[in-house]
Amino acid sequence: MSLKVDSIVKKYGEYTAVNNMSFEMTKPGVFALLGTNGAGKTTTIRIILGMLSSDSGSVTWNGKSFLAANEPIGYLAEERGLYPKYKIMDQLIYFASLKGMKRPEAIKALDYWFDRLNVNEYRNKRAEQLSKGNQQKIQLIAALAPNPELIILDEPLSGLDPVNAELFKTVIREEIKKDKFIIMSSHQMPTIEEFCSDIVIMNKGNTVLHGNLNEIKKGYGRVKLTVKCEGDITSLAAQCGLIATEDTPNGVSYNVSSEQQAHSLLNKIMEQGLPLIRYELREPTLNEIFIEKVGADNEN
Amino acid sequence: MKTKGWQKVFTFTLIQHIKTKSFIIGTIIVCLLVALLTAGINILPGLLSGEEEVIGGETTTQSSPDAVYIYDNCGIFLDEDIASLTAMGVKIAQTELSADDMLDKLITSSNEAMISISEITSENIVVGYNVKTYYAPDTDSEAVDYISMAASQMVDYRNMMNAGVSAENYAATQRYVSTSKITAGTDEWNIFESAINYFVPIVVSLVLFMLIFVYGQTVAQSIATEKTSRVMELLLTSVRPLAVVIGKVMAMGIISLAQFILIGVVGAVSFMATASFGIGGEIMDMLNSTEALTGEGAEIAEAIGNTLGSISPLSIVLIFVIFILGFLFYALIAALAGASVSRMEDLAQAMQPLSFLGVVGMYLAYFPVIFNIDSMESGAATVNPVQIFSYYCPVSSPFALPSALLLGTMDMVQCIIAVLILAVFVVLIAMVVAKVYEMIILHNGNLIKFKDIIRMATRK
Repeated sequence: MSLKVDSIVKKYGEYTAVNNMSFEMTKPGVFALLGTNGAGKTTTIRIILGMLSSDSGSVTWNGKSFLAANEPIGYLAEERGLYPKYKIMDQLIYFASLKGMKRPEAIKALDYWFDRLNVNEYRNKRAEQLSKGNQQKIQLIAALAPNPELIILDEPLSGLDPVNAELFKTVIREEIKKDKFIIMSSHQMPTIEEFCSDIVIMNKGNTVLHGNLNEIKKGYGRVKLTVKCEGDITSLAAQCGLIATEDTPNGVSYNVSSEQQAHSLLNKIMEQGLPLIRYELREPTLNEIFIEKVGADNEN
Repeated sequence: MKTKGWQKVFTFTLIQHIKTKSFIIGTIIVCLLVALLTAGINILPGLLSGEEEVIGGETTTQSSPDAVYIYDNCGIFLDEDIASLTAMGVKIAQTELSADDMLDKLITSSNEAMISISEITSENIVVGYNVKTYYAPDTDSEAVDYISMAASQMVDYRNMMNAGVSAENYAATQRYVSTSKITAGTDEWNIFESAINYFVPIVVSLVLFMLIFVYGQTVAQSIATEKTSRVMELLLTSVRPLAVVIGKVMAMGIISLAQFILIGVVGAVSFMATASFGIGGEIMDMLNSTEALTGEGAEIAEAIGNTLGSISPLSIVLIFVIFILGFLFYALIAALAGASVSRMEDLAQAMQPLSFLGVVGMYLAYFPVIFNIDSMESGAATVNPVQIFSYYCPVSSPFALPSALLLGTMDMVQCIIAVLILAVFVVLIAMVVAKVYEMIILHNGNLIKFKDIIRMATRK
């Protein structure tokens, strides 16, 4: 199975919401769609789902033209939506039936998910009677109950308390183990790093970075240096050509051009006999890559 | 297929809507009101008029004065006239009191009356008679009218007899005279037929407006709720927008029709169940024995018979078709209005063009009939040009055509042409909805104005 998004373009008059976006998922896992607000993520998702038509380009699933209404797909939208006045069970059966599930089959699947997400007591309540977090769980059930092969999660953890966020993460891990294809859009970079293998970073409709997250990080190399020691190392850093990017109680951070530059600072600290508490040379985090790429693009 | 899955939307919308408390309570209240109203048509006139009953061929009035004293100051009444008045249900009583004393007594007495008859003279010549009826304060006013009229008729009768007119000739002078002016080339109606032709279109257009328009608004509200609560986004992963619209419009149409039939059945059952108490029974008797009727009764029976006679099975089928097309016409526009809002607060504003269209349509169907009062007064089956326009204009035809079919004021060919025009417009609107709906349903932000929708629809 594979999902291929090929050169899709979406324009609203003069404004280009998505410009020549391409990516491909050839194996199960989590694919991240990242970007600032208004970058074009939701438009891309809507095009993938067939809610919006693209001006050009194509979306294919297993090599065939893709239409969400005809495919087993689960979708958790960024803006949650349930019928406020209808009973939870009624609407979930309805959503499942729209996905082609027979009533007994839907009830069986829903029973499993009500138990799994600890919301059994709400099945006969109206949506308006539920807290925001519980409504979010119901929406996740609506997305997962039909056992879809492709799952699109738009900001799945936003607004959740830590306990429920962990429950959602566990469920996502379970879906990964079931070899599901998952597209996740989130502003919570640690979550993306935790789950995603491949990413696309979008800005103003354009793709600014695309690829495997580990390879992207390796491509940057270990260029982030954090040093914490007793005594001022500003002059030592300057001698090595380093300017602090951040100074916190946890240490001073620098962008280094090479590992050699970082080691030269370490040598100078050792020569001075300053007590070293922390020395960390690492690859950039996704958050740092994101800010660098999107920030640079926005400055241009 | 763009409409795949509409049946599931239809079923869910139908079941959920009829399960809502507002629908259940609303339907019960309307049915109760209709039952009370239709029962009231039978029962209230009897209660308010003193419950006239025909017993053994004689009319009596239960609340008629217990005693009626006659002071015949000119000696016009014979004994047989008093007997006739008694036969007409007037309870004649004797008294020794003078007229003045009786007047004093009436001030404090209960349910009594006196009739004073005197001559009106001019230059010692009798030019008329004065029949005055005095009555106790608690006496039923309509009953007093009745005895006053009976006494006047008796004075008139005796005056004619005294003048040498035979009973046969007097009867001849009492014959019913009906007048009417009729434009050559139009059908001729009696006054009751004219009244039916005047009032039925008004009532039918109002009822249809309520049904078609109110349920059309429900479609808009339902779609706006789905859009503003973001459920639409979830639905659109399974079905296309057009399937959502079709499912919703069909469900609301069926609910509307079912509720209409239910209300009609409740009204009919209530009317029939209480028919024996009043006008319903009289109408049924009239329809069952038209040949025995004369005068006004025959005209009423003829009017009802002519109206019912003009309803053919094809008319009934066409009325259903018109209802469905009319509903689709307004509900599809309502669906667009519902899809154009991102906040429920904007729905009233979004519905304004539709409200305007609906009200214009209803008035087009309604006012030409009101202003066609000449038709009722003249007894001629005239239909004015605005009325004819309302039959063919798709905005008004859903409200105007059913009554035209019921009353036979349009021939079948004209009706079918009007229905076809309406059908063409429904198809055109459906095409616009299919084109525009997908563009606006996911729009979030400011209300999409009607002119923007038109622009989208006309864009290539």
